[in-house]
Amino acid sequence: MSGGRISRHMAKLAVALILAGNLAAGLFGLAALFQAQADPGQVPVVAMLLKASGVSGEALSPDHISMPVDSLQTLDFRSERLSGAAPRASEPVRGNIDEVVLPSDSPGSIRGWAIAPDPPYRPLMVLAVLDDRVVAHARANISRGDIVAAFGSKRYEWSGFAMALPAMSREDACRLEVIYLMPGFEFANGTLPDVGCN
Amino acid sequence: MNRTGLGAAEAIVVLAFSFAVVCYSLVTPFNGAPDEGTHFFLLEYLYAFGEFPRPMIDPVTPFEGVLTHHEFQSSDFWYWGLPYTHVLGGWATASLFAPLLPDAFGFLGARAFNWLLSLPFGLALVLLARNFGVSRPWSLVAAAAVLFIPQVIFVFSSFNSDAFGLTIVALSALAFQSLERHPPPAKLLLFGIGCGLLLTVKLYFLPALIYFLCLYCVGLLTGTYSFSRRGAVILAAGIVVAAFPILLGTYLRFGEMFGASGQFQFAELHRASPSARYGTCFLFCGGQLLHVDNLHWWLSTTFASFFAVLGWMNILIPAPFYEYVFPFAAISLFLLSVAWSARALIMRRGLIVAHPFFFWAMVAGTALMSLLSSQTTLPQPQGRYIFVVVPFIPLMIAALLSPDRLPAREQKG
Repeated sequence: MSGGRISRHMAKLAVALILAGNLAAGLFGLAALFQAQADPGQVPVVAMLLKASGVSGEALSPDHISMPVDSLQTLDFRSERLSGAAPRASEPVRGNIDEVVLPSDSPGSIRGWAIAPDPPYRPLMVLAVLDDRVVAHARANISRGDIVAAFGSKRYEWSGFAMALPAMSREDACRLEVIYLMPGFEFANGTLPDVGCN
Repeated sequence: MNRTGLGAAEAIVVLAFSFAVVCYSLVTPFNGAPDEGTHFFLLEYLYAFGEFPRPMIDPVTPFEGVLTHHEFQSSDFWYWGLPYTHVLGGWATASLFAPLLPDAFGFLGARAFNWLLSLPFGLALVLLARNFGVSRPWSLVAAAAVLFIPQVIFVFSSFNSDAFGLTIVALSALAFQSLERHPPPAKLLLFGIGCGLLLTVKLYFLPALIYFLCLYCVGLLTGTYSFSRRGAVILAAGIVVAAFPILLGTYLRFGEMFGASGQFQFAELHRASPSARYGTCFLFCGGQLLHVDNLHWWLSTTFASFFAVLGWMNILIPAPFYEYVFPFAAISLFLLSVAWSARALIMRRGLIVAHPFFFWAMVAGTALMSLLSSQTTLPQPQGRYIFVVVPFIPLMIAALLSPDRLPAREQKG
C-alpha cells in the first residue's frame, strides 16, 4: 500500500472520529441545554464545570473569604441594606446571606441572594466549601420579589439561593466557606457576614 | 449528478444541520447565549422605534422588548459603531414570524434569521469539499464533521452576528474556489461582493481576506489564477457595492465603522470584574517569555469552547470529548497534514499544497491575535474568536483526502 493511500486512510479515520465525536457531543449538548431550560432561573450549570474549574480535588482560588461561624442556632441577619443601586459592570457581585442554620441535630442550610452586573445577572452557583471540598451547592434560581423591588428591575428576580448542609461537626461547620461561581470558568469571592462564631 | 451538483445526500446533510440548529435554538432560552441580550437590544429598539439607538443616550427611559419581554435599562451597555447587517436580517424575520408565534416566543422570530443562514452555510461547506475532487461520500463526511461541531450548531441557534460572518466567509470561499484562470465577470463580481460583505462583519473574520490573498498569490505563481485589470475593476466594484452602503450608513449614524469605542468602553467597564481576568498576562510577563500556567488555561479554555462549551460558556458536554477525542483527532489531522504537505511538495502538486499550510497558519495567527487581545484588552478565551477558520476546515480535510492527481481546474494550468 502506498504512502499516499495510507495517509488518506488515516485522514479518513480522523475525520470519521471527529464526525462521530461531534454527533455524540451534539446530543449531549442538546440534553444539557434542555436541562438548563428546565431551570426556572434559566441559569444552566453542570457538574462538569466544577471539575473544569478545579473545585473538585484541587485548591480553590486563594482570594475567597472565610466565613467564621460560632453558633449552632438559626441566625437571621441582613448585613447589607437593600438599595436601589444595581451593581455596575465594574463592581463585583452583590449579595447577602439572609439565614444560616448550622447543622447539628437537624440538617443545616444557608439561604441568601446574589446579583451580578452582567447577564445572567446572578452567580451561576453558590458553593459551601470545607477544606477545599465542596460540601453543598445551589443554583441562584429562587424568585425574590423583594430584590426586584429593591433594585427596581425584573432581571434580578431569580437571584435567591438556598442550600442544605450535610451533617458535620461544630468544628467543621465553623470552618465552612461560601463562594460563588461566575460564568467563564472563573471563581469570584463572596463577602460573608460574621455570624458570631468567635 | 455532476461533480459540483446537489443530490439527495447533500440535501440531507444540510437539512440535518439546519434541523440541529433549530433544535438547539428551541432549548436555549432568551439570552442563553453570550451577548444575545445585547444584540436583541438593538433589534428590540429598531422593532419598537423604527431606528437604531443613539450611543450613550438611548434608551432614555427603560423599555420592555416586544419580542423578548426583556427589560432594557438606560444604563445597559451595547456595542455601537459596528455594521448591524445581522440585526436588519433579524428584524426582517422577526417581522415575518414573530406575530405568528406565542407571545413569549417572539425572540425565535429573530433567531429564524440564523436558521435560514444555516442553509447556505451548510451548502457552501458541502460544495467546498465536493469541488476539491474528493469522492462524494467523503466530501459529505468532511462537511458534516465541521457542520456538526456542537459550537457551530450553537452559534447558528442563537441571535448573534457570528452566524452571518461565518456564512459570508463560507460563501466567499466558495466564490473564490470558482475563480479559475479566466473567471467570468459574474463570478468575479460575486467574490467581490463576498469580500465587501466581509468588511462589514466582525473584525475577527478579516483573516479570511488574508487567506484569499495569500492563496491568490500562490495561485499566480502556480498558474492557477491570473491577473487582469478588467478583473480587478470588477472585483473592486463588487467590494464597493456590497461594503460602501453599509459602512457609510454605519458611519453616518455612529461616527465610526468598526466599533472601537464600544470595545474600549466594554473593556473599561469590566476592568474590575473578577470574572473578566482583566490584564492576565500570557506573553512577555515579567521577564518570562511565556506564562505557562496562564497560557495553558487560555489554550485549554479556547480549545474546549471551540468545540463544545455552550451557553454562557457554562454548559459543558462530558469532559472526555474535549480532553481526549477532539484533541486526538485535531492532533492527528495536524500531523497528517504536515506529512501530506511534505509528500505533495515532493510530487509538485501545485496550489493544492498551499491549502493545509495556509489553514494551519490561519489557526496559529488568529489564535495568537486572540491571545494578545486577551492580554491587552478584554476578550476572554473563546473558541468562537478563531471561528473564521471553520469554513476552511473542509478544504483542509478535502486536501488530505484528495487523490494524488490534481483537481481538474489545476490540471488546466
